[in-house]
Amino acid sequence: MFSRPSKGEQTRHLFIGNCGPAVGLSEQQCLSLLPKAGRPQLVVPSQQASHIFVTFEDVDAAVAALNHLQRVPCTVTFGRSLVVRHAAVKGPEPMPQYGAFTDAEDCKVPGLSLIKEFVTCAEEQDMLRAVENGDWEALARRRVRHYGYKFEYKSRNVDVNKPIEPMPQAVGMVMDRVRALPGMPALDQLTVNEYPLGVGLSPHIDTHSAFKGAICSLSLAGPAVMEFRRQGQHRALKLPQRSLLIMADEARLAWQHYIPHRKSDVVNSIIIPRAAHRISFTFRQVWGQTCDCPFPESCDSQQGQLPPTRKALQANAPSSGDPSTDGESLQSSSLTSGLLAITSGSDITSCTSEESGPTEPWKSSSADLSTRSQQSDSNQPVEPLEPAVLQQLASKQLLAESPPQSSIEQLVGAQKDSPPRQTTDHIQEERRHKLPANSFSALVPGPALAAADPESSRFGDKLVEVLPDTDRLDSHAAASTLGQQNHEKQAINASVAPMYGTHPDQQQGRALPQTHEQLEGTYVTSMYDAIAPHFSATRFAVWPRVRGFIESLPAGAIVADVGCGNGKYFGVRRDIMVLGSDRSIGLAKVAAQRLDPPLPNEFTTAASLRADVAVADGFVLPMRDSSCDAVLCIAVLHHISSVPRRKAMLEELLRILKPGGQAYVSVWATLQEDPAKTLAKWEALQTPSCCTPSPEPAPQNTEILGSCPVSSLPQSTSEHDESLKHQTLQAASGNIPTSASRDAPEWARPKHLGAPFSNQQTEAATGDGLDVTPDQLQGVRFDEQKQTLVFRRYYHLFEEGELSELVSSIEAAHVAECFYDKSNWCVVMSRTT
Amino acid sequence: MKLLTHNMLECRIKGIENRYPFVIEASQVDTVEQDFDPDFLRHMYPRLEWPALKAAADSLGVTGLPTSVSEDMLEDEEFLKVFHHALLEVVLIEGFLVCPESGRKFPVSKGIPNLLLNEDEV
Repeated sequence: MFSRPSKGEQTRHLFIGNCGPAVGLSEQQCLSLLPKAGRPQLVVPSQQASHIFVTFEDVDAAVAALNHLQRVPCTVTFGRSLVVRHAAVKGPEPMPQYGAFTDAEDCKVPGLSLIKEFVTCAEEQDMLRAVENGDWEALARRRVRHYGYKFEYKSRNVDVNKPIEPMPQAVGMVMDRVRALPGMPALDQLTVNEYPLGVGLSPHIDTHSAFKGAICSLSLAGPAVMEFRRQGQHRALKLPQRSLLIMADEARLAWQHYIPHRKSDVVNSIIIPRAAHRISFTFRQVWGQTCDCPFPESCDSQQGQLPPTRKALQANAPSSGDPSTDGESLQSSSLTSGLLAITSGSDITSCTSEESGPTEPWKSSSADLSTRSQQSDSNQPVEPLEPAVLQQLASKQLLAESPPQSSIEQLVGAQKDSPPRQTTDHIQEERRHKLPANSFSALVPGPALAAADPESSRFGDKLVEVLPDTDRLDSHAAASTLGQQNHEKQAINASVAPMYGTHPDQQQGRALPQTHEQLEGTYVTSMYDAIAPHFSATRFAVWPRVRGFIESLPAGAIVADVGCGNGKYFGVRRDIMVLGSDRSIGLAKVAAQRLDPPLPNEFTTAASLRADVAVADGFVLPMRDSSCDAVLCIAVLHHISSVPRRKAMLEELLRILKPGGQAYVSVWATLQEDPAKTLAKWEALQTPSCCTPSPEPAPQNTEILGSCPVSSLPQSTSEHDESLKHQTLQAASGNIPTSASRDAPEWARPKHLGAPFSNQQTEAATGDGLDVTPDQLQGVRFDEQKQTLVFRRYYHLFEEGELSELVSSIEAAHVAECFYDKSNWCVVMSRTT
Repeated sequence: MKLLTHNMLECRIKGIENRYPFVIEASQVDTVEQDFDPDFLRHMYPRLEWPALKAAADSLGVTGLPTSVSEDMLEDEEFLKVFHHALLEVVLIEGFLVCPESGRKFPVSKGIPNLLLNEDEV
């Protein structure tokens, strides 16, 4: 971490030799040597070290301390003379850390308490031995096992009707002691987590309805610093080895807790390396009832029930699983702190998160890996997707030959268990029609495309702080390809088959969508179909402005939610009827799961929601004219790839509205609040051209689309920000008619999704419920570096005034409100006639 | 799919005259309990095409709905219970919605009607 600086360089870090634990100076004694100014932070490399490092606020403070230390009398250092010089930091400067408190009371988080030395060393050893052997479940970066009831990471919930193995005896005794604490619920569930060095826990609040009352966590084998946050407030607390943390009331219900992914913590200004591993024992009482706590913003019951995930419903699901959530949601949860993101469920960790944590610790140990792969294999009822196939995918960006049928079925995941007629037919249709055309097997590289972005140079000036609500924002599949689902028509669609059927090489590796319908079908609908179950598990925050709109409606209103996504607005009110529709069959199915009462058992009386879901196209909605009092169209229109089409969809929304009724329409804005977290992850995309796919500029198309093809982009991901920006700018300076700028830029959004292909994670890519059909692979790419599948979605980002102008151009529409809200442009429009 | 939803839907195939209501061909119908809320029913009543609701209920074998209704019946709890059940609690799980004019069948699977149209239908 530290190294010598270049000669004569002054830094804010000091090396202090002849100092440290190995020469009999404790951390506190070392700290006492230092001046208080400049907030010194001590780094003790190890207990055997005879030197320490100190980091100051700035270089001046470090220089002052250096001068001070050189005059420290030897009596203070027990006769030793100190060696003091500047030190440099290798690699990036460490993240700022919040100094941790050592007592829960100092945190001032209501309901938080900490009991130190709750178990003896002997009990600790007994407990660790008791859980050592047996079935551990591999998560992305740590492993876990359950007693009493199994916590399902995909649903963030527990099946109260399915008890599993009881607590081991060694644990039971301690648990009895925990139960005996005042105000403690009847704890009946234990989750044991093993955290390797550097691995943390993502911010979350345990699902309210899943667990009753307080949650207790015992830290064994090593300490941790746990952090807590709520509405901009932030606290950190050291959890010493053998201590019991109790989260009750507000601490449990409203504060997110997490452990940062890092290898050292700051406690009392001292940087303390973490232990090689830590094992936590978390005790909870399973509940399975709706919660009516006073913290609705973080309450799953009051936000509308979460649907069970496909994974949860899979009868023969393997017990191991990777709850890999996507990077977006993690970012959203970590950056929009307290606003809306609730990463509920105790452990949603991402191995593919953009906020990259430490390196995959499992891979560092071959022993670990082999153990885990055995577990994984024994639990897998079916063979996972051949790694070789995926490697091929990775290296060539295409499948040169048909993957084995079983692989495809794996890709289609849980459809085997409950074959949804539509999709299955669809796939079979694909097989029938496309295999002969040799396209079934062709994974065309995500069309290597570029878009022009005349406005890109402005982004840097405009973009500021916060991440947009990636949560709700992209939770919708737009209506798009008309009749794509209609097999008889589509599968033999002459314009489609040859294009996708040709071997990619024959097209220089490019297969471009040739119509808007195809573009939207490939980059929107299919993507959502593929990621629907995964996607739903991470998106359920109710967007406050939308909630406000819904709450303003009269009782008994009929509301169409066009592009309803996972249906998270169904439960906002019980005295209105929501007619949800989505173009994505996958999302419609996920939304429909909300309609069933949650966890039917003797405790629940929750009735079904007043909502329904249909698969329908936003251009041709099935509702009668003037049948709806209000329409929601949240984060849908930006998936539509031309002005006339966007206008047509708005007109369709107006058709189903009764005169005077209002529609809430929101879209993503070019003006994103955080360029680093948003645009940097985007890939420019060429919108359809009617001509031959070509990397050459095609100006005749830009009149319609405002973007024109330039040199093909490499497989840009966030790691390639610079190249993406560079190429985008190149495009901007080149071929764009300014008159068309209104429609640029067009973007595809890469979505990293679980699915690395090491043993423990294959399941994430397959059993995780990804419905990937070959057609969808058009837009799917394998990211070699991150070992993930990347699903790219098409977006048209809206400029200021663009949406309201579009609405104003429609005769029957009146713009009642237009506002910018967290990287979105929103319009409330009413039907005038 | 609830019959309330059925009441709001029509066949959007281009060029036909008679789009409403969909004829229901049911192969599985469930009952899912809903909170009884008389006010909700009173709000819904003026929005509904009663004959369509009655016909849909009949086709699913749901009995007790009168052929015609008047406002004052909305104070009659007996009636409201029957109305509530038919409107909200009877759920079409598997089957088809059939266009009354063209006979085009839209599948309903797991309670979700698929109302996507073919290209030549729009």
